[in-house]
Amino acid sequence: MAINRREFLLSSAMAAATAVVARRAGARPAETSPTAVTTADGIRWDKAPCRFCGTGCHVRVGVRDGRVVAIQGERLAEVNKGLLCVKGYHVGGILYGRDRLTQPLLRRNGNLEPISWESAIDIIARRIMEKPESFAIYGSGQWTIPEGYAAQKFIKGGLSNNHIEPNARLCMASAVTGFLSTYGVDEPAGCYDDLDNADVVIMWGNNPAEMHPVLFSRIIDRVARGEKVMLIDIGTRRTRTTEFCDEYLQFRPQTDLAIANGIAHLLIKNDTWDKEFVSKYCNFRTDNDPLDLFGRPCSFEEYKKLLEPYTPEHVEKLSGVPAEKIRMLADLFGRRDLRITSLWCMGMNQHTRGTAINRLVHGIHLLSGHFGRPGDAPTSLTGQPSACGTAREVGTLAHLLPGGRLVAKEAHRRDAERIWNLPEGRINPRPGYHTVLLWNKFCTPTAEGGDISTVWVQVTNPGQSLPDLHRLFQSKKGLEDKFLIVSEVYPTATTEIADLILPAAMWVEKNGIFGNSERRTQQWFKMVNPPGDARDDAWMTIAVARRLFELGHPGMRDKDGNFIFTVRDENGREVPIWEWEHYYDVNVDRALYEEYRQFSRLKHKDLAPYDELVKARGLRWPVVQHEDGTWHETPFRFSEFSDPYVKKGAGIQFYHSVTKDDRALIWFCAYEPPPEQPDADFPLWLCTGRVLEHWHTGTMTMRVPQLRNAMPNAYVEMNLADAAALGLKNGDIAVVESRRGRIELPVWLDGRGKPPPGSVFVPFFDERLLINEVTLGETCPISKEPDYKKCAVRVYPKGRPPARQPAIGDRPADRI
Amino acid sequence: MSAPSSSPVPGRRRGIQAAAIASAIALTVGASGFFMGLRATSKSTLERRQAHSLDASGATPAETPPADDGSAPVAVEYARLRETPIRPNTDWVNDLSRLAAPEPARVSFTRLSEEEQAQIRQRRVSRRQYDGAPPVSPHPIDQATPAACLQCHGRPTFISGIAVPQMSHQMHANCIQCHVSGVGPTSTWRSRPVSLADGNRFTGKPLPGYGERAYPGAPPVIPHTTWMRENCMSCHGPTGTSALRTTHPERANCLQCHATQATADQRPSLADFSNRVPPPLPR
Repeated sequence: MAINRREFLLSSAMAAATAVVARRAGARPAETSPTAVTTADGIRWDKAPCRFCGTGCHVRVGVRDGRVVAIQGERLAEVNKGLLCVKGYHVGGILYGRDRLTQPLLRRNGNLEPISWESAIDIIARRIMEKPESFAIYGSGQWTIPEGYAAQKFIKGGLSNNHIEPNARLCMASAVTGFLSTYGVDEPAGCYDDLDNADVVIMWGNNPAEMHPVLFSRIIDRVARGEKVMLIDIGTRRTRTTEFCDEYLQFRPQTDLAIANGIAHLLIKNDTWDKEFVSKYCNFRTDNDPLDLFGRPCSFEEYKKLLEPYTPEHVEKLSGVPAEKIRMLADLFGRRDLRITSLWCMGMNQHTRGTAINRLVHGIHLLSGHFGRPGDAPTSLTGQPSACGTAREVGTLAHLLPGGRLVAKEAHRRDAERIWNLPEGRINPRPGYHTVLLWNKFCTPTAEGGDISTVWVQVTNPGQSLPDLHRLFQSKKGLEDKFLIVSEVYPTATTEIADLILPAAMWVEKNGIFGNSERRTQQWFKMVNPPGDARDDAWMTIAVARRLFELGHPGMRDKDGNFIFTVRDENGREVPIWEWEHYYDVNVDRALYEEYRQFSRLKHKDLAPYDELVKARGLRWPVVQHEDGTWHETPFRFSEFSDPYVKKGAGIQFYHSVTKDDRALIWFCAYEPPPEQPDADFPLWLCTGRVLEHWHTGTMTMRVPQLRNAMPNAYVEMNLADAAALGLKNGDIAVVESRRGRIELPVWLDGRGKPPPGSVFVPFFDERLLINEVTLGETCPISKEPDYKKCAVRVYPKGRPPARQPAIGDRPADRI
Repeated sequence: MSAPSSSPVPGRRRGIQAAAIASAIALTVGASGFFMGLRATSKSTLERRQAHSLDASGATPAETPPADDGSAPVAVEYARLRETPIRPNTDWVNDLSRLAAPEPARVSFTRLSEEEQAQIRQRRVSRRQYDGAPPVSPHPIDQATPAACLQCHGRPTFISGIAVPQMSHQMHANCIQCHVSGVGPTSTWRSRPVSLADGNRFTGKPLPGYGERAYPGAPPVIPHTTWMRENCMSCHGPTGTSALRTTHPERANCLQCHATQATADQRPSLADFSNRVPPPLPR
């Protein structure tokens, strides 16, 4: 092709101009580059998202001689720009723990005995065949998108049974109900770019310095460079995050609801709310009795009246936060020249009023117009690498179908049946059991209504992470007709009582796709082989489906009689992917993802094609194709300057609005006291959470020596005054006891976090010290997410119990 | 977006006023304190002070009584604190002082012996999962603020004769995001570290190896990434953590002669840009 000089100059100028315009508009061409390179030392480097949290950092994985030998931060990744946290740098070590599970194990007479994959798959298939309606799958936000999608299609499209839940129910269900009831559609409108632009960052019960350190560094590195950013920590204990904050507002557990209402009260009273924004883009709403997801409309006058009691002085009385600090927050929100970003994670989500506090924080951002400009955003963070991608978008929850569709909605079921090529009516209209109920049913004898008989756990560890473990997990022991199947990489608290254990491949031992907290979908390729006989989770699901197909289960066939997981090669020939030897003959991930991608258009969560993801370090949906064939991601949703689905001239458009008028809802939800509060018998608050060095239940990170040495065991963090009163010193063994259970832990005083008097903190990563035997099983009535952040306990030195004993059987959680 | 023109915090102005008043008070108190202090310093105090100051004859902690008569001890340089005979208790013994080795020359042009090199390599490997991993600290981390870390790691220094590595990269505000302790989170816990080889079969790439030379005598290229290793002297300086030490520490611009590698540094290649240029305009 010959182009003359003039044309070349013209096209270069156009290219430059287009690039400038594209950048201004917030729409960027995909960050593409051939991802794998080999360096002089013979190491092949390829990209992958980190295995751990929901931040979604990209790492470069260095592989030599079939083994991972080094890790680097991916500098081309916009999320982390080359930086990682200590877990990310050591992520390679999680593959090589000495006790990796390498063969299927079946429990016979109490002992685990090796069996073949063939018989393992057969045992599962026959159990399902026997009672398909009492079979359940329990996964997590650590499922890759194709794995979660395969499980979802298998159970809802194949077995006509909706008992599928992810452990994400335990961590972000309240964020989902918050987004749904405010905007009509799930997931944050903002993104991490907000952190580069905010003047004020408010952390609501959030400790990102430890839980999302790469994001937190993105903010504090700005401060270190001399930029003005005000950081405000609204929390129930001092943490590492507090050390970096300008303001620390300490509130009594549960009273965050009152603080949020106090801010809204002042915005109205001071007349500093954004009248233009609200009149153009918002409606008002409040709760029904009993509580439900969408509540009832209310007028501005009623909203104002409902807020009237929340004067700063009243809020101070409830929360313990000085009235002047509530005024300070309201003054900040009242200023239009500032950009304010709110961040939250488990503090607001693991809350018996989780939906309410999520709505209220969205509400003050909308009421004050702090929405839709870079730096102005209410943003929830997630704890798992694909809580958004797999749990929320694929919809691996008991009431959802892929792409934001509902099991209960006929049109949505028809839609799914059409895409899956299933006969009409295949999908069961009745939602399945939510997590807490599912495990309750599994642990209840069949004769007493426990109608879940088999649970297949993939990529998670409920034996450690469920609340109130005695009741919701351990009481399975001794129930002869219940059968627990666990796909795992290491022995865990869950495999401890499993009847069948399947060794799984993990992370770069398989192909995968994750979706992070900012709507970014990230793909990686298999780089090393799994150890022994370990295999992909998606393969296991497909192999069981195939066995059921062979056994004649009608659900395993589509309308045309074909197997529901039919994958063809480029010549159109069916590949027997249910046979492990042939599983990698085609890219099954690509096939499943491309099928799933069709679901993503309904809620305008358009996913990029697989081949675009291959070239990119993740793309934020909606990813839209331009006329020139290039694909463009959307950093800021609902904002005209960035989101292609917003009508020109609209400014901001909530195009999935609950009220169908492109408006978001500003909610009023009343402060309500928590279900369990400290009393004479159990005088202290217990809060649980994570630490920087370990991720979730520590299954992976406790097997990396560098991480384990840095934080070798769990502990109970106490206030100095409480410890002195109880006669406890640093390193003493204390008993932490609630109405549900007790454990013994070393005391750490003046340690990493500092709880105020009357409260203690225990991390949950240590499988030898299961704090969830102590926590409460009570959930948010709307999201069904349990509250791990507050329950009443007492603490005493080991061997010296207090004189008064609590009434046995007085367990508020029995009400579920 | 631009930063707000005025202070982002409404209370900031009030804060400035308060700070002005506070500093005025502090100045007054400080000045009067200074003059009162001058008056109180007697001749005998000055004599005692001389007795407490650094003694070249090598007084041990046990021989020097603590300053219990109200006189102010001489402030010593932080880096020499452990060696000074100022002690809170007469019977207090510093274990670290037993480790005291002769301080290596700050600038050394001599090559390390094979044995020394092997020792340094061993230490380097023992503190990293692989070459390029953030090293774990051999000491507990009781104070986690960046200021506390920079006190020792902000510049090359010696504490009790032990070389303390200087940060190899630009400042990031949360040190303990990447660097954790290898001996438990706090000195108040007596945790027994698990061996780095125990329980895990991960075998990281141990050392970067040697850079290629175009011909004998040519400056070798850098065989590893320079990302997060911007300060070459942190490892290759005369007291660095690498066994490979520069023979010419006086030349400050390392990258003038030692070339970096685009692939190791993750620099985008031409292919990254080629598909961003829109197709030429139609004729």
